Amino acid sequence: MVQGDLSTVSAVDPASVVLSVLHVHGRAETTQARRMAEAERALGWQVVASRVSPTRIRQLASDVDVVVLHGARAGFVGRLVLRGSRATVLVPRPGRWCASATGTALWERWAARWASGVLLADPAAAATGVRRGVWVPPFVVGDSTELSAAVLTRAHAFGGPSARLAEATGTEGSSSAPPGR
Amino acid sequence: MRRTLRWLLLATHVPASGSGGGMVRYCVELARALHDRPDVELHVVCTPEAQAFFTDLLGRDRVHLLPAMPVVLRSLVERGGPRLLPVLRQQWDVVQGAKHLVPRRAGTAIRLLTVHDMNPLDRPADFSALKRVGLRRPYLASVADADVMVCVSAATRARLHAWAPDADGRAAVVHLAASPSLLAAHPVAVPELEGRSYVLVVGDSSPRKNLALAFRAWSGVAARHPAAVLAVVGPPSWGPSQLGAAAPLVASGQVELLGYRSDGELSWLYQHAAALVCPSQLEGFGLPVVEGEALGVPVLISDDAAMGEVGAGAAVPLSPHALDQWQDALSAALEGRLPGTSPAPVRRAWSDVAAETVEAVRGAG
Repeated sequence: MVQGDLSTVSAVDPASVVLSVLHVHGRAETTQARRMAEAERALGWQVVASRVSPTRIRQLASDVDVVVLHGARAGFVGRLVLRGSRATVLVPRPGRWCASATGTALWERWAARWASGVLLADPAAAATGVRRGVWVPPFVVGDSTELSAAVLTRAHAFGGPSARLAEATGTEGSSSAPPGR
Repeated sequence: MRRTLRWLLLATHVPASGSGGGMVRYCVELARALHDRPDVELHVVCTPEAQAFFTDLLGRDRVHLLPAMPVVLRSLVERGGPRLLPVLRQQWDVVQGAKHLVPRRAGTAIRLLTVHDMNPLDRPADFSALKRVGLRRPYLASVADADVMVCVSAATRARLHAWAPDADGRAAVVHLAASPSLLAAHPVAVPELEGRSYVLVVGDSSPRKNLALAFRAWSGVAARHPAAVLAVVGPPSWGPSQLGAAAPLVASGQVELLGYRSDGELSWLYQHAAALVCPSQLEGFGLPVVEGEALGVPVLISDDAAMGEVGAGAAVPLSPHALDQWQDALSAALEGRLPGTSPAPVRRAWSDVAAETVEAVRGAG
């Protein structure tokens, strides 16, 4: 049984689960992306990193459990390409979540349906997103890579947001749960 | 002696029978427990269909009616405050919303909101488009308006804080308790399962409950234990259902869909099951976990944080990704090798829930 803050996210230690994760970043890999990837490799997860490219994202995402989009550019392109078909977690740059112009806020509102969650450093950022009507489930993880990993396992368990919506509306798709390993 | 609190509980979601899912049971059991307290004068607002039920429970003068109307309209009235809900013009010490909403205004009363979960925000796809879009702002506005909140688990409070960081300091954790009527019920045998070895699942079939995982795991277990049955108890899903995935297993007799069962039958089912399986992906609390533990059945849970918290130390958490672990645990249960089979002492009663809720209110007053 897990303890502490982690217990508010998951009852199972993320180390007991083996996931494959794609980290997509902008021109340069961020420190947070690097830290997350290192921590996930230490858990025994399969981790792939890529710069933003629609083709690459499409190719690589088909073989992973969770896609993590770092920064605004990766968040924009990644969601547009995947459209919630995979568990998709956003990692905005510190202080940048829903912080900019009206056009961006409109896009974020629309694209919220394609995200499983957003990892945030502090509660104020979560409040900003809600105030602007961006309904992506926020997870305030600070700089804890353990909490981030737990959110990724939960996102995978929930499945891609579009697949869930399809199941809920009975339009298409299959079970929301991922296949067992 | 502490001052008596005049307490108004919004209970318009309670049906004529007084029985139903988690939020209905919460409202009814809390009403009973608050009514038993000498320091609370409990009144309820209910629909005409539940009038007889609450009149029996509380007395005629404690029951206030909201005319029958569609749920959406009813929610608007409850949220609207004294202008739309005249009973709020009376002098109350506490006005409690037990299903997502508190009134916009309630005079000088402390507005108390019970936070069962943040599911409409965390898993919006499970809800109809109307609820998906229509509920989130009134829900968060109620969170902002509430003077005090009681969250049914620390996991739920963590989700509340993520969505509404300014709720910090206004939200207490008050765990629920197993239903006293279930614990006191005389077990009534269920003929379909008498003399058979079975594993029990309790809950509706909505996607969040993740019955599909139990069905997938059972396909492997059935090969090792061909005579065993997976018994599913629960009302129909109010939305999409995962029962379709069980059709081949139902046809082959490996899964029994038992539907809604009385407390007596449910008690028997818990007490004779090899294990209780709770594969749900997201719970605010996870009442079957405490019910199963109280009635002495080994409990297997998924990685859901609330169930992990509620079942701490007794329930066995398993990753929803590890199908083989589920199959091994289910086989172990059927072979009597799963630990924790002695009935656990009942740790909590609804009087505790009421006492902690009153304390949360008095702390804010």
